[in-house]
Order: sequence, then C-alpha cells, then structure tokens
Amino acid sequence: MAKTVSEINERIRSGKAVVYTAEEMVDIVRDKGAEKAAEEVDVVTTGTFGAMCSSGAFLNFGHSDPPLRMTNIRVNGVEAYGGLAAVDTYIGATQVSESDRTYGGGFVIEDLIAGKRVSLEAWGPGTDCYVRKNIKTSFTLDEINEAYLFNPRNSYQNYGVATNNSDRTLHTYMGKLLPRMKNANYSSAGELSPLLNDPHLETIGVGTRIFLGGGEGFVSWQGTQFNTTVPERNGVPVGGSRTLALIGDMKQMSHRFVRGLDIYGYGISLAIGIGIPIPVLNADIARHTAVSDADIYANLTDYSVTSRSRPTLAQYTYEQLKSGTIEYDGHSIRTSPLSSYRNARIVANTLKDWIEHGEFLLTEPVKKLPEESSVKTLEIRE
Amino acid sequence: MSMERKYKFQFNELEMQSSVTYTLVSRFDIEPNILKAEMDDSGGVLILKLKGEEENLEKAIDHVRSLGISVMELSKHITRDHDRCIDCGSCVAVCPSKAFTIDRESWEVHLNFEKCVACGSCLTSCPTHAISLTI
Ligand code: SF4
Ligand code: SF4
Repeated sequence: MAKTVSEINERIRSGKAVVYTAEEMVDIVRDKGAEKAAEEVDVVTTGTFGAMCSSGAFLNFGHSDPPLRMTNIRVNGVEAYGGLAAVDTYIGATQVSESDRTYGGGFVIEDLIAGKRVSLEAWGPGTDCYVRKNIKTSFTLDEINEAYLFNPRNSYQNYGVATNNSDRTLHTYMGKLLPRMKNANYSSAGELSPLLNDPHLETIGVGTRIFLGGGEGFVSWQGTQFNTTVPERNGVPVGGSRTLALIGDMKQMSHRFVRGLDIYGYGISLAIGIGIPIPVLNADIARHTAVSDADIYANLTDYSVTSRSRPTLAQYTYEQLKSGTIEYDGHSIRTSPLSSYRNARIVANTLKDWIEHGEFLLTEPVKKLPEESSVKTLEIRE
Repeated sequence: MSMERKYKFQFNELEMQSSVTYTLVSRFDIEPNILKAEMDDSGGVLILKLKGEEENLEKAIDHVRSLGISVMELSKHITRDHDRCIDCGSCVAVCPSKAFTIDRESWEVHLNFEKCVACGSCLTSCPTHAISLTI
C-alpha cells in the first residue's frame, strides 16, 4: 500500500505520524518485514555529524555611512571573498587565518552561530558611489542582514577508510595515520547516514527540507563530485558517491551542531550535523532505510600512496569498522570513527522529535538529482 | 583552588615514608592517595596523588624537598575539555595505552587518566582543541 508525502504530512500535522530513526528501522524491518513496516512507519530520520570541508557562509553586513565597496575582507583575521557586491561576502570553511594557523573559516562560522562578536576589517578602492576606503569594526550574527550556510558538497554517500603503510606518521584530512598500518580511520555514520538510507535518491532531491546545523535547511542542488558510477554491494555504493549541496539560515542554527575543526597538518574545516527525513512511501523505501552496518562496505586504502587513485587493500563492513579493530594480512588494525556517531544519533533523534511534534513537515523534491553522473579529472596541460 | 596532582617521591631512607605522609595531612591539610609503593636497595619510590589547595600543595612539596626527598611531578597529563569535545573518536586509535576509549553503546568517548602515559600522541589527533597536556 503506497502512501504519499501529503498523506504523511497530514499525519504529522495531527501528531499521529509514526517516526523512527534509521538505526531503529533495522530491527523493525527485520521483525515485521518491509511490507508491514511500510504500512506502519511514516518517516525514517537519518543523521550524520562530521567534517564537511566544502562548506561556507554567505554574509551581508549592511552598509556603513558613508558606504564602502568591500573588495578585501577579513573576519576575525580570516579572509572572506571580496568579489561580490559591496557588502556581500562568502567565507569558506577551510580558509586559514593569516595570524593563527589553528583558526579559520570553520571557527568563524562556529563563533558567529555561538553568538560571539567577531572583528571585521575591509578595504575597497573608493569610488564615486562608495567613497569610503576602509573600515574596522565588529559584529554579531544578529547585527547583520542575511547569514546562511551554502555548502557545495556535504553528506557524502559513504566514504573510504584510510590507513598508512609508510614508515612515518601522516597527518591527513582523514586524521592522524600512524606508520605501518597501526590504525585506520573511517568517516561515514554507516546505517544512520542520510544518503545510505535512500541509495538512489528516490525521495531526496532539490528542495528537500532537512535538519542543518540545528535549524531548518534545504537541499539546493546535487553536491559537487556527484557520482552515480561507484560499484554497489547490497544495493549501496562502496565508497564516496552521491553528495548534496545544502543551504540553511545560520540564525536558526546551534553551535552544538556546527563546529570548527583544526585537522593537524591538513588545515581548517567545519563539522556539521545533518539529518534528512525519508518518507516511507512504499516497501522498497522501507527496505532501503533498514540497511544495517553489516550490509554497508567501505574500501581500505593506503594514504601513503600519493597518486589520485589509491589501490583498495580490502573491504570492510561498518559493523567491522565500528567494532574498534579490523584484521588485515594477519594483523589487527585499530579503528577510529572521525565523525561523531553520538552526535549523528542526536541529530536523527532531534529530527524525529520535531516531526513527532508536528513542527517539521516533509517535502517532495522540486527536481530529481541526476540519475547518471560521473566525476571528471583535471588534466595537466602545458 | 583545590586540586589534585600526581607525584613520584624518591626516598633514601625507607622510614621517612610514613612521617612524610603524616606531615602532609597534619601540616598542609592534604589528602594523600598512594597509588604505588616500591622499595629496593637504594630506597623507595612512592607514586601518590595529592589533593588540596594549590598553595598548600606547593608549600608541602617545598617541605618534602627540604627533607632531601627527590620529588618529580607526574604533572603532564591529558585533560579533555568536555565543552569542546564532539565525541568524534579521532583520539582513540592513536592512543598507545588505550586511555581513550569509545563506549559502543552510547558512542561517547571516555578518557581514563590512570592509563595515560603522557606520550602526547592524541594531541595532534583532536580536531577541536579539546585535548591539552596540562602541567
Ligand atoms: S597522551 Fe598518549 S597515553 Fe595519554 S591519552 Fe594521549 S595518546 Fe593516550
Ligand atoms: S579527538 Fe578530541 S573531539 Fe574527538 S573525541 Fe577525542 S577529545 Fe573529543
């Protein structure tokens, strides 16, 4: 028996919607079967909380008197883009502060959302319509006009597992990797991760309303490097594949779910809590949301190989990865998650709570994301 | 400010041990907690945790030193700022002594100070500046 999104929204409005997290859904479908689960369950909530490097914020400062056309901008000493209109800017999560390499765009975004006052310095050419040439002031999130995250690539559908077979410690965006494969780091939330619960994006598309950083956000487009060609096991891709571009109002967000990261030896990033609700429209969707850690595989690769494509050493399930050790070639390797499963759960449960209390309605995609898309590489031409 | 610190005392004469701990309690209002006591030909080694006001701790240590006992603070130990920690687990697999562990039910990251050998490995693994090696 198929349902529609508007029927589910009716039930949400009247406080009768049945909502489970993707983790809880594993047992429900195992016990009742997908058909029965699809009849009983209206929405499955997902969650992830990890580094999302391709993120940033659009800010509009408002005009000073006399006004300035800002072409060179620093927020708390971190460069923000100066190529938009006079007082618009974009501050990227990975932009490093000029005076402190442990601070950068991700931390500016966290500080703003935490309500902290940040400094602003800006310079411009001085024109007939914008006579001022520089400004030195400070602001809080409440004092500026618009402030929204607009993240070109978030919520990766699965990702690899990193280890290091060289003789020296590597400091990578996949964390600290000890020599001789002493540890391995993975980053996906596995069975709770949004895009692993709707692997072919039947319900998620442009316009989908989501949980973003503690507030309401939307899927605005496919994420960059969107890839539908990754091999699958048990119906889910093994390795990084689909991605989302997301947008959301920073003024609704909580710094509990938006945190600056300083990844030693790599640079600055931003951890964001993202949750996507999946309407259980039919048994197929119910089956997809019941995917468990034991069904989802990821590739172990050696990050001491510096070329673009690193050979896969082995595949592991998230059940194995989450156990704390994996076996490779006769010895055991200790694993670390990198993304916070505890916070991913809090995201999924918060979203569940919003829906159960009628505070969050589901949307139908305005436009589907691509069914076929592969990733191009950059050739080096002289 | 009341605080707790770990020390290693090295004695030449064994009998000093009990009188020293007695003085710590009576004269400096310090709560000693002996974690380890070892003796050999050259004397004894005591690993102990002292709890008391910072000022009293400092006076007490000066006093112990004045008795000819060598004192080393096992000062460097890891602290974690719970407000900054996001329970990401990046520190877990890089810790050689398994002082950092993940509770696989709640997925909270726990730190057991007793196991920490102050090697510093976790410092460069934590992306939120939550871990510091304190003195
Ligand atoms: S300093 Fe070393 S032993 Fe102590 S918690 Fe950090 S990694 Fe573990
Ligand atoms: S690496 Fe830092 S933030 Fe992550 S769990 Fe350890 S202490 Fe917490």
